[in-house]
Amino acid sequence: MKIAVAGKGGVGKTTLTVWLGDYLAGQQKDVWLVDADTALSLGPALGLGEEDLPAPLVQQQQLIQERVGSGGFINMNPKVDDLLGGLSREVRGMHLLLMGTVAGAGSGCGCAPNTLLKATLAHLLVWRAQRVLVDLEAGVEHLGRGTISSVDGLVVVSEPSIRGLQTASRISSMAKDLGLQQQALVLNRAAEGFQPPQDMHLPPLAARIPYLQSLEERQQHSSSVLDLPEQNRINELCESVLTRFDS
Amino acid sequence: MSLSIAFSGKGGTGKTTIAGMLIRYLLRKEATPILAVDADSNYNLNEVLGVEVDTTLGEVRERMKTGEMPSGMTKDRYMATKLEEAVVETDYFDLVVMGQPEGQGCYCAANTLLSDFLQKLTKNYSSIVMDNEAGMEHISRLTTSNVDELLVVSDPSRRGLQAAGRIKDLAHNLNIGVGSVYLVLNNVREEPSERMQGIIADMGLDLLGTVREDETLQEYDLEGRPSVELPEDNPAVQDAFALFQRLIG
Repeated sequence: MKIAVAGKGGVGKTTLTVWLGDYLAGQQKDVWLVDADTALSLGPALGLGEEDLPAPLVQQQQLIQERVGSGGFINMNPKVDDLLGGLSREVRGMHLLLMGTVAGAGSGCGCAPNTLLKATLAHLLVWRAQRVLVDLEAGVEHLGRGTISSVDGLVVVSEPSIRGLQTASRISSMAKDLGLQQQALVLNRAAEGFQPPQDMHLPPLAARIPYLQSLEERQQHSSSVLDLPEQNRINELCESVLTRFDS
Repeated sequence: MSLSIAFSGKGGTGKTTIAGMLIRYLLRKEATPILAVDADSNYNLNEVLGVEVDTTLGEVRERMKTGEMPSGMTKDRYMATKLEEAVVETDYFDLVVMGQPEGQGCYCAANTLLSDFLQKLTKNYSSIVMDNEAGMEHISRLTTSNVDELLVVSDPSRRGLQAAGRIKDLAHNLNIGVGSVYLVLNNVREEPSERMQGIIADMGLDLLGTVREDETLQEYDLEGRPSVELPEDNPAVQDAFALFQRLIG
């Protein structure tokens, strides 16, 4: 099962990704978590300190030159299947991989690191049979059709605000255009009676993230979203989301 | 010389809202004409400002890359026309939206045209306000001009501050010059506790000021009303204006 998680910033994408990963790992599944959001919050949300994070793939200059080349000829289909183990970090039975940001390329060609990022993501999503959860920053359109066809489902997270829902709707319709039909909406910070507007063409509502006071208090001084006292409610949430994509 | 101020921060911390407040502040200061650049792929600066966007520069770039264009026009000329059309003009400011990030393949040719266009465009303005996502990919790939001030926005959470710390480090690795980097702490209920100040110091951040959590602002957000329409005596607007004054006078 390969699932991408998208939505406007700050709606709880990373938190949900970590909970889903932890839930699957608890069932002894082989889980890969991919942080494709440039804020790189997935590691901290798993409880990792800055010094325990794996190096973002995009910072592996040497690797990029070796696999993709730099300037001159660029290999658009670099071999990456052997890279994943060495670049990821194992945490609580999950593998964490950070994509990172293509910065500092300036006027030069930033295509080589970009190509490696996309090839690695494509490899994980297309060839590996494990459970893969990708925490995205934007929508899925930059992944390319070939990669998207291997994704089983898209979870769109939103708050009840108009801006959050508009972003959700935009992400959903672009993903549909690219052939990613299996989608589910997860609402966060919504009042119990709140129903998403019909005319926004949002994916079917799969679950609501419960308000957890323990999490709100914890966030001020700690980054981890795991080991909360409300584990039962989190498990229920994960179950409702994942059953949408059972195939 | 134009003044260029960029925003970044983890998603959802309020950087777009505060960028909108800065545009309003610059208008009041008559630091016009103003160009607003939305470089967040989940763009919504236009919604904060209350304007509609037809085309994003990313869409034009994509069309350029896939080679869809009418006959009888050179690629460069066609692209230039389309890029110009993508500038949203209002009575108060102009806005360009970067939109979708790069897809697969090489974007160098299209990016070169796009960055030339941006370089020429930005020369026409006294103030430039840029809203970026945490990775600042557009800024680093597409602009060659320096940024005078980078305001990193965070909510009072450890994860937000960690992202802010990383952005500060990233800013020094960009190919363009970045003047000062300051932290803006948004959505605060109380002055930062000692513990919070400790985290800020650990991340090597320099706090410019705080912006209060505000119920009216949250209502505007919920209803999708442009937050630039908030009354000027709103506490969050007041806080933002006070820190802009410290920054640019």
